[in-house]
Amino acid sequence: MKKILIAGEGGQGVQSLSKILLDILNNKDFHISFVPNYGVEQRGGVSLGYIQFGTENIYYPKFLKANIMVILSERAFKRTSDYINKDSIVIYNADLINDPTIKKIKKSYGFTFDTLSKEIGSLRVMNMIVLGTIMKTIKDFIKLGDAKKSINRVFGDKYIKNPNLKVLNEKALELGYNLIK
Amino acid sequence: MSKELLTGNEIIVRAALNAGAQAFFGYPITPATEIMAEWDTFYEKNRNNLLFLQTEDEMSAGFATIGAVVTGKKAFTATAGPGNILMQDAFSMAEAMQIPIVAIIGQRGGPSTASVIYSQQELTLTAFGGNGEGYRIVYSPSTIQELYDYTIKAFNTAWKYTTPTFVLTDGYTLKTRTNVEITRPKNLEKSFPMVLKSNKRGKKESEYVNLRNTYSVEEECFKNNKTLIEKWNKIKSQIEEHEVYELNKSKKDTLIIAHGNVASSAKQALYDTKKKSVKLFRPITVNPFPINALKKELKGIKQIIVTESANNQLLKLVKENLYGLNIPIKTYNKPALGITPEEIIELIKKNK
Repeated sequence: MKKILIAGEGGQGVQSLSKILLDILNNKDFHISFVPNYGVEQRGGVSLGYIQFGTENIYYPKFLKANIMVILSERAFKRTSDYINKDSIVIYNADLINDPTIKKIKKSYGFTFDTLSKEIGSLRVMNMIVLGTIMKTIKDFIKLGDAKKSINRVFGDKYIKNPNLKVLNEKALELGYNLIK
Repeated sequence: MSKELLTGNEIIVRAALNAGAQAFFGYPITPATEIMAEWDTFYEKNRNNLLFLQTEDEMSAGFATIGAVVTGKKAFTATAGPGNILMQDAFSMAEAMQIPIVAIIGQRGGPSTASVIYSQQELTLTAFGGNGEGYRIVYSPSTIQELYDYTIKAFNTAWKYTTPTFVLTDGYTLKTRTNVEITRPKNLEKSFPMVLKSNKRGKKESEYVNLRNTYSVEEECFKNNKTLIEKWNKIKSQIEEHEVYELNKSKKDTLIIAHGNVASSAKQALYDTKKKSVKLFRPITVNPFPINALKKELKGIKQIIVTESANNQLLKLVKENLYGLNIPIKTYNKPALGITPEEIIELIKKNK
């Protein structure tokens, strides 16, 4: 069973990223589980998504250590650093995290997610770059086409109003997918 | 049968609809608000057959649910934490008059407003809240699949025994999104208007029954209590449910007792460690408590570990029911905090 923890600021797209990843994994016939976590505040604060998938039953939605950690802000790093162990793969946002300890983690990959998304055209597609890197990390069984289908399913309504978002999202996804070799 | 990707809150509404629910009354509170929001979505599509009202508070929601039920509607409500406290007035009335309302309780941290997402601190309140002795049925499902199955069952049990029935869950379970099997139940209990003298469906009868909630003299009130006790003692063995989880049938020396979400965690822990000397006992009905089933599992047991996301609420039920037995009981309590499989693995190691 694989355990993925996604952590960021409210508004960075943690929840929609989790929703798409879950849809991709569900279509691969895995047992899956996702639980969000947040505090009492209506907006802002750290937003977390706990995802598990595998071929066996998943009894419990939470966990203490993650196989893959995605950390998108400094505050989220402080909040979730206990979830990292020596085998965790850590993907982090180098634009927002200045804490030097994150670089010392053996299997950590820092990318300038904010800068990269602005280069594509919008900070809104940052989470799709992140999704691309997660897909590559969980190995090649997820094809880009699978992810595009899931993104379409989840964002279908938004695409009707803003067709350009589809182009940007797919560009972001492909960019992220090719960031990790 | 279909397998869908749904949250616990969404699954409850599907279960309620498939159990024949016709009405929902509620007041929003995290983590149970989405049950109301989801019901509203279905209500908007089917206004001719469904009823929905967001009331001014939880007391009103509870009494509106009772009102709809006595007229023959399968009505339900959902609440959590402070809302569960306010709704006890209505729940106590449903208990006194044995009205088959169904309530979903999404436990959140306590005491008071506290935290919004998870706890097991509403066990005592849900089972024994109010100024009575707890003649109510409380299911504590462990997984989202069970949330579906036991919500359907709650409607059937409530109407079969005309007893208020609760599904005691929590924000972790309600907010979890996973794939769930949606099956259509084969047999559904029929609802009927309790306010009509001939309360069988299809009969035209206009004579009303006076359903009483007030007694002029102590003797009358005592008589009602006696009726409640006799009914409860008669039906409880038919309602009690439990699960024993063990990897194989080899000899066990340790028994873990947990319910709901924590029991799931214990299962994962036993599965991961492949520990053969430990088994899990999980009451599915925390009220009535499956005491005879528990006693049967104690043969050869040297220690009991009760673990819960509350401070000794489940323990009290266990102790009360195991009075006179000399097996040492240890506890692992984390009020308002989740207990992960990793922690239970540690707990098993420490208590070897």
